[in-house]
Amino acid sequence: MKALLALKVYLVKYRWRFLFGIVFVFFANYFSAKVPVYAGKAINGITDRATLMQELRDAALLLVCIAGLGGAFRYLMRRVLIDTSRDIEFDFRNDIYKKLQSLDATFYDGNNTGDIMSRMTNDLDMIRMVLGPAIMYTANTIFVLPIVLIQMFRLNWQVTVAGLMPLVLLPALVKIFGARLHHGYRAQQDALGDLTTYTQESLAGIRVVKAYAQEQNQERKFDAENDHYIKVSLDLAKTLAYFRPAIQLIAGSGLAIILVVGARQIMAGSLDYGDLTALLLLFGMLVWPMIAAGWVINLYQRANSAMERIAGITEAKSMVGDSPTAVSAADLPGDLDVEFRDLTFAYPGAEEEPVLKNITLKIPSGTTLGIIGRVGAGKSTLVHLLLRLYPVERGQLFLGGIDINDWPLAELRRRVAIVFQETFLFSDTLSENIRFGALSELTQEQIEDAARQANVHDDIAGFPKGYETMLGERGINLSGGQKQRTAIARALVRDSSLLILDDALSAVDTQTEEQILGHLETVMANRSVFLISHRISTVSMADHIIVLEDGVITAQGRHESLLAQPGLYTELHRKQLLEEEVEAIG
Amino acid sequence: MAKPDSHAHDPQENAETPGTQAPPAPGTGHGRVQNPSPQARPRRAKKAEVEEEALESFEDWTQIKRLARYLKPRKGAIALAVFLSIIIAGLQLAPGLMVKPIVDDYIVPGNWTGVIWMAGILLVIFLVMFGLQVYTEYQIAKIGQLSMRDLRMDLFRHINKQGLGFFDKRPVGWLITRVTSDVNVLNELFAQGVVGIFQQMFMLVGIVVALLFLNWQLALWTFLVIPVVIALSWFFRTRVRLGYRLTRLRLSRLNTHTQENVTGMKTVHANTQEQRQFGQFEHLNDLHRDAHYRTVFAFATYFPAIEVISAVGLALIVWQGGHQFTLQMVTVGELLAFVLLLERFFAPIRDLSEKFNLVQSAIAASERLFKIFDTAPKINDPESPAAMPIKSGMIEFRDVWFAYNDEDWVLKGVSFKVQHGQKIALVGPTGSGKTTMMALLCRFYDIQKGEILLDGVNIQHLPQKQLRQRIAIVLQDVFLFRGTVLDNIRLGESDARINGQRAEMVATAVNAHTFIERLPGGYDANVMERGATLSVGQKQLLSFARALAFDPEILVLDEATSNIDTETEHLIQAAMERLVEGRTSMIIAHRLSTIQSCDRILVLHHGHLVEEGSHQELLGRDGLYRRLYELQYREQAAV
Repeated sequence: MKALLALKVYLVKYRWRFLFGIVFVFFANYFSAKVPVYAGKAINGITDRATLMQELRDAALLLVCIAGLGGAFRYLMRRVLIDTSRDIEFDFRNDIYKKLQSLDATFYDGNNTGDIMSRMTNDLDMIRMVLGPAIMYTANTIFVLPIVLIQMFRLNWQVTVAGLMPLVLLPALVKIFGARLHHGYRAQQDALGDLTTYTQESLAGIRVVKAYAQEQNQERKFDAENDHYIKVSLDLAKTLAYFRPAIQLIAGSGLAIILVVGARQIMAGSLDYGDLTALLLLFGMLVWPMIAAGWVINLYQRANSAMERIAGITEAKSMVGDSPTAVSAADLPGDLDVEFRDLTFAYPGAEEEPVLKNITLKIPSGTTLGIIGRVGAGKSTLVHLLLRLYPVERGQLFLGGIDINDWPLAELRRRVAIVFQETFLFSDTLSENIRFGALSELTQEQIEDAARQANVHDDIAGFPKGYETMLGERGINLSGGQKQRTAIARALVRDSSLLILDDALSAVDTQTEEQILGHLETVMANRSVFLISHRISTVSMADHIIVLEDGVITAQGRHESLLAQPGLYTELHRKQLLEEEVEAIG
Repeated sequence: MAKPDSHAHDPQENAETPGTQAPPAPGTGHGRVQNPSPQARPRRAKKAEVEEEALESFEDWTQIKRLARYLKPRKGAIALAVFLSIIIAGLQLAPGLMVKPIVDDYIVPGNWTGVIWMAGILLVIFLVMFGLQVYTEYQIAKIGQLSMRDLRMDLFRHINKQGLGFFDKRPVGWLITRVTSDVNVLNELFAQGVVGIFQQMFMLVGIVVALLFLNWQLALWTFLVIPVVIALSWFFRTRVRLGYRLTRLRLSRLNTHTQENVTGMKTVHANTQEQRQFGQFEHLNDLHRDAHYRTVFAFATYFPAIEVISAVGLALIVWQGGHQFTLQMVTVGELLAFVLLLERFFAPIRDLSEKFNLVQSAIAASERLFKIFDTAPKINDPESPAAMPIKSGMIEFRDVWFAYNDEDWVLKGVSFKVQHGQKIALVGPTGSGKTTMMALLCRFYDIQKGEILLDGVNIQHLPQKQLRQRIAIVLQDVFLFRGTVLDNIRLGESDARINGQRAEMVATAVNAHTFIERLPGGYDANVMERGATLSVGQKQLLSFARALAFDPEILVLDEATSNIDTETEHLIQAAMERLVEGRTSMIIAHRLSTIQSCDRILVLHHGHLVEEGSHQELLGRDGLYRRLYELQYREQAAV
């Protein structure tokens, strides 16, 4: 149960509500238990033939009033306790989300989206169950037992003791069945998991299945998994089939005993008919809370393991954050010279395989830098470091003369705009997607200007809904090139000191690329642009070009000087010319 | 009788909350992130209304009728279960009914032995009921599970029959949710719904009859509460159903947002938009909580209200019963019986309203399922298949036009002929249509114009199975299944067709034997999902072994482009030579050595067949092939 302790903050935050809720539970049960008692009294009066019509009506009204009070408290109990659990769920979800936002890329490299999502959904739901229903039913059980038992004992202790005897079997029954059901549900979950995995694999490999005409064999195997699942489910059903009837049998025996012992007491004159009625009704109130107890224990256990999984997020440490020696925003330089000082970088957890080795490079503000290299050479890593998406050691990377670790994170990222290699757009409107890059409010004109510079305005204007076109699932799906150009527009509205295009023109044809680069030259005049590409055409106009191979800068200079020497650059250039020819022939 | 079920379904309120929805998929998720920008806020209230309208106009009983088909084979079992349920319902009334004789005939006259006897009978009834309940509940579960199995089997078969176009449009995850979760929802309907509805109905009727039988005047007084209970239950059901739908919808939006932001966290960070995105998230989170408040309200009102109404019933019995007692129109035993029977009265009404909710979600699930069932496979076997041609392995494309969508032509009038035993290389820049051509030969898609002939017969006139049994296709991205190495070589075939010996033989022939031997367990070694523990080269060799094991007349092969160490490279080359021996083969070639050993090279560009000839011929022609050669193969030549 240790993991659940982490929820203490929320319990403390809503302590008054919990307190009131629990008080309501008490009163709800108190009044509910009074209803049978008063009904019994009224019946006593009837059978004694001592009651007048007038009194009967009053007794009836009293019953309704007491039940009404009980109902009112039960309503309040649910509203307060369950609503609070929803509030905590709301808070907790917000807190997890904020935590997720604060975690750096290292965390996301190690945790896939599916896992994170299942914690945000299934596991969180388990926690909510514990905070709401489990607490409510725990309180309910704790109060019902003494309240009802006291009423029963006051009516007649002999009948009560006799009637309770079979009930002592209940906790044992719940425990035994609880364990078996737990196993049963586990087995069923596993079988469903197998069935799902099999289906997943079979459908993912549908090409192979069809190519080898294996449909029937696949179906046979599917049937086997399906049958297995059914078998396990039926095993579980067998246990379940015993559970409820067994409880009814136990409760029924208690009822029979109360009738017998009650009859004896009536004959002996120590019990009235009304009391017997009350005892029978009160007895019925005991059964459910005892079942609930078993159910609640199971809930606590499951929530505990859910909380352990969630702790994988809430306890995770971000390796990137503002350092205590961070320079205040006012003292930050306007010009963004970039300097790598013998920088060597390896991803956390893969320290023995550095991705960048001994990079020394100084790029004055206003420079257009081209970065060329093969897949996996370390180009993207190099620019990711400029945003501090990963931790960088001190003394290796400086922006505007300040160690990158001394930059407040938000200020740093405010000055750098990047278009990632894999374009990510949100399922929102196009204009919202472009606006996403901006640091302040934007006018429609500003958005359209950026779109024009990124050569995507004409495409957008061509859509029936223009800039209000929704992207994603229920909206339009853009082509790769359109996505990249939208992302460029998003970066352009950012008004940054450094713009990084990480292979962001790969899906754009060369002619459009040339136009976009032309626009950039005007827009980004006096500011720095870093262009990563595996295409020479993208970088050929750059002020400075570096060639990265296996994390090492193997050549640098301007286009002409690089072409003058043999090496990767010249080779890529030759290939590119050939590719253009191939294209031209088509 | 005891009161366990007066609350027994109560915790389900919480267990059932739709928090365990799979991430939104097309068809289920209305995953549109709402726009929280200032100008959008005022629209919010209106949007909620629209939401609800959309939620309400959503009920189609015809789906349920279609589902009945799956219950048919179990007609007998269902009839028996319904019959037993009715008996159980009757027996559950026993304590209430027996209280009257116990009190009036035995306790009042002071007949102690009589009381003991009656209690004994009551216990026996409880025991019989226990037995019947256990049996019936299990039978009901069985009916549900078996119907579900059949439905799932049909669904899987139906999906399997679809052409590849079907799979291109639907993510695997979405299909899986249909086959697993949606079918499970229907199970609840099959299991609990059908029989449960009968049982509760009979219980209600039984109580009404019993009360009337005991004392019709008092009974009529008590029945005053029935309309209230029914109205209340109806109101509750509607509220809860709407609440659940709304919750599901909003949860799906919340999850879509979260999923999207977790995936794009890098973009959020780079644009320093954490605040803004959190704002959106909080808004969606808030809406989701709001939806839950509604459901909580419905539950918080309904259960106490039933409690109060049941007290009203009790009050009516006290008041009117007391009155009649003084007139000697009712006995003590009858009064007690009324109290006990009334207690049982409310459970079935509430249960019935719950069953209705079950039916609702089952309708939603079945709607999605039938959408799949209603998608007829696009690629079908001919009704009267052509006679099997002489199996020689001659391929011909005759003016083949093909597009995945509409008029987006991928192949534009491609014609060529491959003679028996010829080895053909397909060459062309990315996107020129090479892979498509291979898929068409296997009839994964149907072409729009022209004809593809196998030994002179249009492949559309052959049963798919026969066609594909004659062709083996080896894709670049080798797909391995979980299971053993042997399983992966012979796929699902039995020993009779491909036994271990043959598998070993073909593995040896394609140079896979050596590495397989070295695996722990050899041919019985476990292959992880997608062959995660094997190298690219090993996977390639395994897929060769698979192709050879099926001994096809035609081999279609997409050579791997990935970097493979030179040693494996040699093994693969040698294996390929053995593989194509005596077969017609078409290879998408990435290696110079493959190309050079081919009989003929087909050069594709933008869906046209632009050049054709041997390596030397084409090199001499100074066309596209020569450029491609320079681009792709010259380095290899240098090595």
